[in-house]
Amino acid sequence: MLLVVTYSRAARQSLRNVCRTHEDCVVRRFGRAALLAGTEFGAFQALRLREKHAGDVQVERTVPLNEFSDVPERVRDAAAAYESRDAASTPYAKFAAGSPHPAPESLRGEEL
Amino acid sequence: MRVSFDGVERRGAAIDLRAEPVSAEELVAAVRDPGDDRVVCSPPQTVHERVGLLHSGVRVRPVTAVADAARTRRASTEYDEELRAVEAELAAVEVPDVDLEAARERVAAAAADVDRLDESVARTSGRVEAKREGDADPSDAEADLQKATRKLAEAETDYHAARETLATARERAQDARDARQRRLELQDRRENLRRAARRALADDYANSFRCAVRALPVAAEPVHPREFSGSDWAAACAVARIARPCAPLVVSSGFEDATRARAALVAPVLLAEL
Repeated sequence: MLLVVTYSRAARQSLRNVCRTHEDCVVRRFGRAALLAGTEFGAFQALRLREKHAGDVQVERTVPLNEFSDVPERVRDAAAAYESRDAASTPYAKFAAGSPHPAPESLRGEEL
Repeated sequence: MRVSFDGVERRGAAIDLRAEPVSAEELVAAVRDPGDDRVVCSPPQTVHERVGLLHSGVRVRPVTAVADAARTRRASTEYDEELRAVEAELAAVEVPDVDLEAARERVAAAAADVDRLDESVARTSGRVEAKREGDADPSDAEADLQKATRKLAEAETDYHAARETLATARERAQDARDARQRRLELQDRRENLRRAARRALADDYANSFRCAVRALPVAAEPVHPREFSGSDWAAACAVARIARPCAPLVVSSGFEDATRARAALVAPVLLAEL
C-alpha cells in the first residue's frame, strides 16, 4: 500500500479531496495522512498530490509485516514475554536485564 | 479626500462620480492603490476588502467583517498576544527542500543497469560453457565475459553509491519534514486563534452592529452578527458604519445621493456606477 502524509494546509486539503472523490483507492484515512491502495491508480493519486505540493507530500510504500519471516524469534519471544510480565510498571530495560531477552539498545542497533 | 478624473478635481467626503466615465471597480482599485493619484485618501484597512465596494451583489460574512471593522477601532482580544507569538514563530520556521526525485531516479536507473548487465554476464557465461563443451576456441567468449563481468562490477558500485546517497538524502528529508510539520501545527494554531479572536470581536461589537443596523435604511433585524439573517447588503452597510477611520467606500446602489450615503455609512463615500 502507499502511505501518503501531508505537511501543509493546502496539501492536506487536496488529500481530503482525493479521499472523498476516490474512496475506492483509499484503504484508511488518518487526519493529514492516508493509506492508498497499492494499485497503479493509488500511485497515480499519490504522484498527482506530490506533483502539486512537492515537498509537502511524503509517499512511502508499505508492506504487511510477517513477524515469522521478518522478525527474529528472540524479538518475538521478548515481546510476548514482556506483555505477560507480572508488574505492569516494570520498564523493558529492567525486565530484560538478567533475562534471556535482548536489551533495548541491542534491538535499536539491529535493522530488520 | 481628493479625486480627479478627466482633468476635473473634486474634494470632499461625499463625491458623486456617476456621470464620470469611471466604473465602481476601477474606483475601488484606485482607492486601494497608493500609487494611483486619481484618488488621494487615507489608506484602506482590511475591512475595506469586505465592504469597500457596496453594490447590490455584495457578499459578506457578518462575523468576519464585524471583526475587521472592530480592528479599525483598535479593538483587541485576549488571543492577540499568542497570535503575534505564533506569527513570529511561523516567520522564523525554515523549511528546507526535500526533493529526492533525482536521487530516487538514479537508484532506479542504477538497479536497472545491474539487472541488464547481470543477464549479459549470464548469457556470455553460457556461451563460454557451450564453446568449451563443443571443443571450440572459447577465448573470444572469455574476453567478452571478462568485459561483461567488469561492467557489472562497476554498475554494482554505482548502484550502492546511489543507494547510499538516497539514504542520506532521506535522513535530511526527515529533518526537513519535522520543520514542515511544525509549520503546519503553527498554521493550524494561528487559524484557531484568528477564529477565536474574530468571535470575541464580534461579541464585543455586537451592540455596535445592532445600533448600525437600526440606524440604516434597511429592513433587517438588529441582532448579533452571528445570528444576522438580513441581506448581505445590509450587513455590509452596518459593518461600514462601524469601521473607523475608513478609506472612501465606493457605493453603486442603495442610496439616492452621495450625501445621504455618507451620512448613513459615517464614512467618506464615492458614488459610481458598477
